[in-house]
Amino acid sequence: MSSASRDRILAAIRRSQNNQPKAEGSIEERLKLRPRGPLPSVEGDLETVLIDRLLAAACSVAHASSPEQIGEKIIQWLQQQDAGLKLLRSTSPLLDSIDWPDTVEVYDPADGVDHSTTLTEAFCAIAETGSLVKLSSNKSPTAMNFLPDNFICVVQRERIVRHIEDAWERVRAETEGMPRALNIITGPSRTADVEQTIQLGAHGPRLMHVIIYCN
Amino acid sequence: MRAHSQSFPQRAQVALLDERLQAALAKARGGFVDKRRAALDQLPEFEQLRVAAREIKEHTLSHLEQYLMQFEQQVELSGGEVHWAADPAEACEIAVGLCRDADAQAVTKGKTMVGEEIGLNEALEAAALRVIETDLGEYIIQLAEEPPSHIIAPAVHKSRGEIAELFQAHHHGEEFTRPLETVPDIVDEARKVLRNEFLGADVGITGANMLIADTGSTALVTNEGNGDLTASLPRVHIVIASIEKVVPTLEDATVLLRLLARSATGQSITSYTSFFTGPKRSEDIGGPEQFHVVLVDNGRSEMLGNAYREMLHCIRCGACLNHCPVYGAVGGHAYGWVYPGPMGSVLTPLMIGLDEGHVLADASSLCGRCEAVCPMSIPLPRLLREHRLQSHRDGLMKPLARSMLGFWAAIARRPQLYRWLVERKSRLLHRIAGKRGYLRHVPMAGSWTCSRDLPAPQGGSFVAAWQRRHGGKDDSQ
Repeated sequence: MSSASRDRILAAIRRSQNNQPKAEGSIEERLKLRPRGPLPSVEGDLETVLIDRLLAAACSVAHASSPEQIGEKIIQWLQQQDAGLKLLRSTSPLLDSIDWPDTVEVYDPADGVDHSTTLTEAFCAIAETGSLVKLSSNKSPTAMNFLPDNFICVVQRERIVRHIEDAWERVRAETEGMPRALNIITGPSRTADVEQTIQLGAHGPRLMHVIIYCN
Repeated sequence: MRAHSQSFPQRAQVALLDERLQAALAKARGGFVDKRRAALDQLPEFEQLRVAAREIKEHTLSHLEQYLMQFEQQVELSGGEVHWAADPAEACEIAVGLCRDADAQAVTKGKTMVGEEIGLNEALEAAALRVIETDLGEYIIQLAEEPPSHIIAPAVHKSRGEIAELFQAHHHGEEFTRPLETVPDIVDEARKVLRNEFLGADVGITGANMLIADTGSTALVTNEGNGDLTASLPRVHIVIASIEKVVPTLEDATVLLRLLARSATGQSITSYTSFFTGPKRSEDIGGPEQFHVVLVDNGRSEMLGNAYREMLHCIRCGACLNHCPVYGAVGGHAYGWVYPGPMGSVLTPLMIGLDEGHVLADASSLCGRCEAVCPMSIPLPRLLREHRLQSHRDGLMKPLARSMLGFWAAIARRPQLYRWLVERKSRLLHRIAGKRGYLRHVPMAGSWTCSRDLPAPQGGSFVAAWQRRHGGKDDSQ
């Protein structure tokens, strides 16, 4: 049934297309060259722009220059939020190299426990929009980005790109095709569905903390 | 969903007298308009992006067959499946079938306007599935058993008090007892209730803002993160999308994304912009085991070849609703079906039939604000006029209106007679109005003068004034 519909729909499209003038450009060319549209100007130091826009998107931001410092900054932030020192951590060479004090309980995604705080590393950050890009994998399941109350994300400074299109270039250069889920995340979850009043923490994270790492 | 568009005039009357609705609309109006304005002020490239977006749509639509096939091929390569639905019934049948095959009992849904268009919830419920909307606005109207009244803010017509009442009626009892006084109280309770639904669902159904032919990805923008939880936690992810949503590449999608959030909510980007490609990879922890895309035609392949083709450029941002004086006065429910406002007045007659929907095209002053703010530059007033022409041709106009219009046209085609009559009429009205300068009642225009006065003509006609100023010469020659 569905395949009959497929043929019928495609035939109807073809008929309609033939009625209309053809736009310029071929499909092959477009898919090969992937032309970029007009790019909004992003001026100045990428890190400064990124921080500016992260703050505008209701994130908090910290810096760290060593794995130990990442740990310290996280503990500090969790204490400020009155949150427990317990976190679910995705695995990456950088995050794995953090030595945690005994006071902190750290779990791997495979443990699948409590999601109240998660710690992950971003694939890259986009200065234009103040966003972090997350790719799903066995090391970093998508649910970790959406289930916690407190979402902590580390990004390495050299992985800040200017425009969204630069992130696409990196994905193409460094991965084998698109992952199951690619999330561009810009601040905590929010809703304005009750009287247009913006309220953070709709279904996803209530707080988002970004640590920019540069050693 | 049954359409009630024919009763727009009656529904509009009721809406205008509904104080709660009027308060909610007044609150919403300024917010959307101001936020969009502020966002555009921050983006000097907006006009360039608009031109680029139009070019992307024109290119894609003129190769739609090939791009859809490319998309299908890429979805299959990444382990997903594409299903084609010619009409709402077939789309629902496919979705219900996929849920049955998965032995599903509970289905969570992200907001999908195509889902509303095809009446998906009714079909799933008729198949004994438990369906939960997870976008907060959609959840609210699901509890209220109402259709959405806005394409991006479905519950914009509901006040905080009304939402609290709904929550009390549906949740309160054993688990929830806290009073719901503030917006955070309400949002928090919804979060707790829906968290359990997310975790317990077998199938997640979302819409798509775009389909990427190059990669076989479906793009979804949300602020709440509900779409991502719906897509990521259940065993099966079904995407419902209409065929015009396809764009060639991620780069093309990016151009549209830059316009979408700014035009919709005034954000430069939504909190979450996600691209789903296939089911979970074998080594992944979490993620759906199955990924299905249901492509819905429902008249679009025909629109592609007729006068309404440009309506397929629409990216469903809602800017035309937010700037429409008619929508702003009567709200979305008056339109009687899924899509309200200017874009709805064009789409509805195409989808439910002109005989049922033509009154919507009449309910416009053709002021042109919708076209001016549309990020895709869709000539909405022209398309509305197209409906008017067609309904006149089809004889759908009321006999009295039709004969009056015929009478007017007969005179308007005789300029001398027309001017002579206008001169006489203005003088008469001027005299009747006297010193007051306006008329309280005008014969045969009672419904117009019942809510306002008619300013009386102040002197001669426009043509007479023009001729005086230009010494009888016509500048156009």
